[in-house]
Amino acid sequence: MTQEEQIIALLKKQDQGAIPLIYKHYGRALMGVAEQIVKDREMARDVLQDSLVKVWKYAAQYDPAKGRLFTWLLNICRNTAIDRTRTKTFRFERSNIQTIENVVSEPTSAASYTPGVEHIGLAELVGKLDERQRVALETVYFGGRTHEEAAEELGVPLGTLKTRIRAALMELRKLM
Amino acid sequence: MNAQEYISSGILELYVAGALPEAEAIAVREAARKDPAIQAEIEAIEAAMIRYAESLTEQPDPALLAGVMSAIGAEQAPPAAQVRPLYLRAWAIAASVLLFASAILNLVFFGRWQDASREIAVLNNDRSQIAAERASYRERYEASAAELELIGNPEIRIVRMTGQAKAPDARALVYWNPKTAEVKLKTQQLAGLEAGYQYQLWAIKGGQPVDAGVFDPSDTLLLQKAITEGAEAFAVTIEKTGGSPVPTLEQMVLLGAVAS
Repeated sequence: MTQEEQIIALLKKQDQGAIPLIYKHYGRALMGVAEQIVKDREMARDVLQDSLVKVWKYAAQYDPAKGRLFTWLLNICRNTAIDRTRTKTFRFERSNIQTIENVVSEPTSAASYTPGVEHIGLAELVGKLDERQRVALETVYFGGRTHEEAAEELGVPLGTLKTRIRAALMELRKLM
Repeated sequence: MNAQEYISSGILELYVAGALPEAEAIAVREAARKDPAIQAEIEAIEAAMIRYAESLTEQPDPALLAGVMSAIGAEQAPPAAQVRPLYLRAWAIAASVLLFASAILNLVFFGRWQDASREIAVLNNDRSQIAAERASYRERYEASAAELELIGNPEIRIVRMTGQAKAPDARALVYWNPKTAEVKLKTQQLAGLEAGYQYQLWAIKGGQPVDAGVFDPSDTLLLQKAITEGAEAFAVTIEKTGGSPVPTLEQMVLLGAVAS
């Protein structure tokens, strides 16, 4: 039984033991998604915490037939993060943060985050990804858009978008 | 669509990113189940995405997990189990208060009911006493009225009998109408007799006693046997119950002459 199967079995049994396993295997990735959307580590932390509570609350709704466990977790976390960006508090805080960022002239690309030791190499490489590939990937990955929506948003033909995403992922896998 | 087509289409990336419509996602899963190459590709894409996302942040602190566990621990206890007892307790308290108030009122009203019953019993008793007194007064009034009528009737001879040696305090009146021969007797202060004896009224005519009937002492007017004209006196003796043909003279208690 893989870790993923074990977690799915625990969720089905409404066993709270599923949550620490989810945290261990997907916690950091989900935190990364949240942080990429809300652009604030403290807020990302809140988003992840709320998301894990929701995961437990809606555990019975996860259906492996409809998608991967990680995909389900990603959707919950992404929606929670996007909801957070729509609150008034968020806009207020964001405007302050951006003011400060402007003052110190800090870049806001992925490379400006301070990743863990084992990811330093990867993060640097991600920062070096073709910008167009990275944007295409992140629009779908973090924005929760369909191909068509992402293509429209980025103003590129559907085929081009698919190619860019594909290339970005190929590149990532090569880098890892 | 074969494995290679799936892998090169970009659909699998969208599948992992959760950007596929449900029907397409189910189709992808079916394809992955049949073809290990597709399954392997999906897992590779997922791993790449996870690593990529992880590269964007640091490992969250363990306090985050602790916070989640305590939050779901609190949520797991069904909120109803906490809210409902309070709810029930409020009702229980309200019910107890009402029950207690009801019990107090029951006592109060039971007490009042008992008082009322007692008063009704007393009033009923008073009422029957008054009714009895009223009947008694009515009887005596009627007797007095009848007696007054006799007194006012010029045909009536009133004979006042006085106590003899045997009963010096005894008194009695005889209202005698010689024309109708009607005799009525009104006793006063006649002693009661022992069982087996009665008083007997006699009219004396030409020195001979004539039986005028037996009687028992009473407040009322007693109608006696008819006595025709010619009586000079009336007398009362004590005789055996039912009376005697001739008076026992030693037992004479009353005697009175008819005024001429």
